[in-house]
Amino acid sequence: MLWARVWRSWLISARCDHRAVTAGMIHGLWYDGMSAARTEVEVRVVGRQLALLAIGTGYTLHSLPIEQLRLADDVYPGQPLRLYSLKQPDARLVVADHSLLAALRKVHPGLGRGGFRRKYLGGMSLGRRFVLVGGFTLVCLVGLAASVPYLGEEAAAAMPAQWERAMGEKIAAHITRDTGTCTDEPGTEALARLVSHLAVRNGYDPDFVVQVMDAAMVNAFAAPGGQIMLTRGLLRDAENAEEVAAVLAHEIAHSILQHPTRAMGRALGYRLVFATLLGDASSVAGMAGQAGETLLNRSHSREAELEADRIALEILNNAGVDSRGLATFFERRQKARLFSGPRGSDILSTHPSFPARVAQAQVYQREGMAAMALADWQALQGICNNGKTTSTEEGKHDHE
Amino acid sequence: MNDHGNPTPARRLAYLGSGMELFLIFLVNTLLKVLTLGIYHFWAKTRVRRYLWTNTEFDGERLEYTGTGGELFVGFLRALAIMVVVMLALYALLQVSEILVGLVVVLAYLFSPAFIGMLIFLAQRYRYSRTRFRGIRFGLQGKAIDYGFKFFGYSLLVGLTLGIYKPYMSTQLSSYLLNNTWFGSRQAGFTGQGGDLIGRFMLAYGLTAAGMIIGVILLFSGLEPALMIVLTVAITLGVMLAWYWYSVEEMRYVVSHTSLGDMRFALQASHGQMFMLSFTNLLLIVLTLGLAYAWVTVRTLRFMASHMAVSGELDYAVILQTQEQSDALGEGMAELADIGAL
Repeated sequence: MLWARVWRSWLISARCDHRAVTAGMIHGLWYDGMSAARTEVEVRVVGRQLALLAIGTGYTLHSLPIEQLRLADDVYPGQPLRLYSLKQPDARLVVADHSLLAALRKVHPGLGRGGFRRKYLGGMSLGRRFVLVGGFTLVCLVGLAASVPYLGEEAAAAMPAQWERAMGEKIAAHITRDTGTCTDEPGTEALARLVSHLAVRNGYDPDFVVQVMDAAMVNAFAAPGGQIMLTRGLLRDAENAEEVAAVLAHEIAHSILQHPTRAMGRALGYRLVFATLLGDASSVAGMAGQAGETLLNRSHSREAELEADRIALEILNNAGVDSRGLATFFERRQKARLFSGPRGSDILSTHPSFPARVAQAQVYQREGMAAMALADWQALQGICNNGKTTSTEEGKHDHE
Repeated sequence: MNDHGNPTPARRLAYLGSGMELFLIFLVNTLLKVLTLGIYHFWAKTRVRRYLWTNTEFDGERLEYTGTGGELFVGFLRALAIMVVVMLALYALLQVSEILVGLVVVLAYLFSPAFIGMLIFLAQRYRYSRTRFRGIRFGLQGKAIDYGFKFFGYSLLVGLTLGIYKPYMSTQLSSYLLNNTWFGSRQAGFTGQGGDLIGRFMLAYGLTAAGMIIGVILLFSGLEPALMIVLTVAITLGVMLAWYWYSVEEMRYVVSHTSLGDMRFALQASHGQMFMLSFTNLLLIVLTLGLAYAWVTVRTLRFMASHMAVSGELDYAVILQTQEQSDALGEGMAELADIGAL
């Protein structure tokens, strides 16, 4: 009846709420894409078409093929559907009643689903999605954060020996750049004999490159590819050749276990995870990330140091060298310690504590013969004497 | 609603998003970025924009963002390619003459404000062209190069006048951007003048100068160190508050001198309210190590929308769709230059 229609359309326009849905009728807003004018329509599925009817008259204004309809935007709970047709990409149909979607999906099941398309997310409450999607994502992220550093470590360890060596040479050159190295010939030869003795007796390739840095600090480093650096300070501090041999064996152990290479791969993995995790976040989070990175690396190096100590003692014992030097060296360093703990694979990493390392060394240590002939020991102690290189940055705590 | 002549609701602009939903988007984006070694960045950015846009409601209809991640990625790759070509050209030039390369680098450095201005303009144009309201696109006309050289010229003037030209620069740049902004066939407008702001600017400027002079006097006054620290901190905070006050004044000024057709805007937030918003945002970010970023974004948008008074009507029926071309090259370059925007 006419008066009823007029009454109804007046009611709707008076309330003027595009979310209003009169029973059995789906209300929509149509923007034709040519002007910003809004037309209120009644939306009805007719076969494979979506008919837009003028309110009141029921006259069909437009008929859109349902297969060609797409969501123009993701639909979150409480938000209207915004649709467009491939034929009229500028025009928009806005419908608050989500029940239309079910009707449309009967004809076009993929609507608002899958891939890179705009999605319908109104089917599940935010709370539920938060738990399900958020939970799943968190589990994945934690899994990745845990496995990427491990993968990085394994990948680094598996790299061709040639690359590892080339990389190690670069790193060693970098570490010794500021201080220079000691190259006095008798000392160099004596050191080479010690290295070769330890290596051959343990069945290792004696291709370690051992250098003495012209630096006053007491320290030793291992870089990838068998690069080992002792310091002038270490040679001066050592009470006997056995202590130097013990430190050398510790670095050889790191090298054999590929600790420097693995540590780099792992650090890269952590860096990758933290950088991507915190890429968009504030600098505060960035700093927290860096602290976390360092902390994780530290906790890892603790085990590595104890392991290297253990293998070092084995190396010394196999070579028949008196291995009590490691414990005495640590005991003295503990008393003298004034160092901030560097990270990575240097001999004086703060983790684990000296008492723990001394205790372990005392379990495995064994008496044995001298590490080097007296003449060799004296030559080694004088390796920095000929003044070929000058030390520039005394006491600088360089590492890695 | 306004199409029907009903009384205009007090607040016509509303932000309807939820922090939790945005956080969920951030979370999923993060996972996908990690899995793709960061390449998802462009799609992630697009997803966030879509969410921010679609929850901005004006006169009962929401904004729509139609940009795609693929488009941004291509823009970035093109920018990268241009960068590589430029680098190669410079390298080739280096073989010819080192002085020439030095000259080019110095010139590029000198003109970098112009370049930054261009990128800001191009990125804005891209975003506008991908923003729809009631099916109608926004647009930014004008020339990026004009804006770039304005940016360059005004920056130079600001430097020469020891910063005093700053309010003029802001209004001139706003004027160029806003007078070239179009919603379909309807042009936006900006009538602000730097002269209106200079008084307030000089107040903050003068306070800063006074603070510095007092600071220097204090330094040589031989006061107790503890007292000196307290006074220095007080002066620094005072100067920061003065500039905060000015920035709110400028924001309100720019908003209230902007128009779209017969529509006018006003930011009806007091200094205290604005300050509380910024302060609580800062606290939230710091205390949660940045995890609250999503909530901070949403509450800021909600605050701005709910304090934005809009008067006057738009005759939507006569606003027509216009065809404007724009691609994501500018945004890609902005990405390379690390000029962040949303």
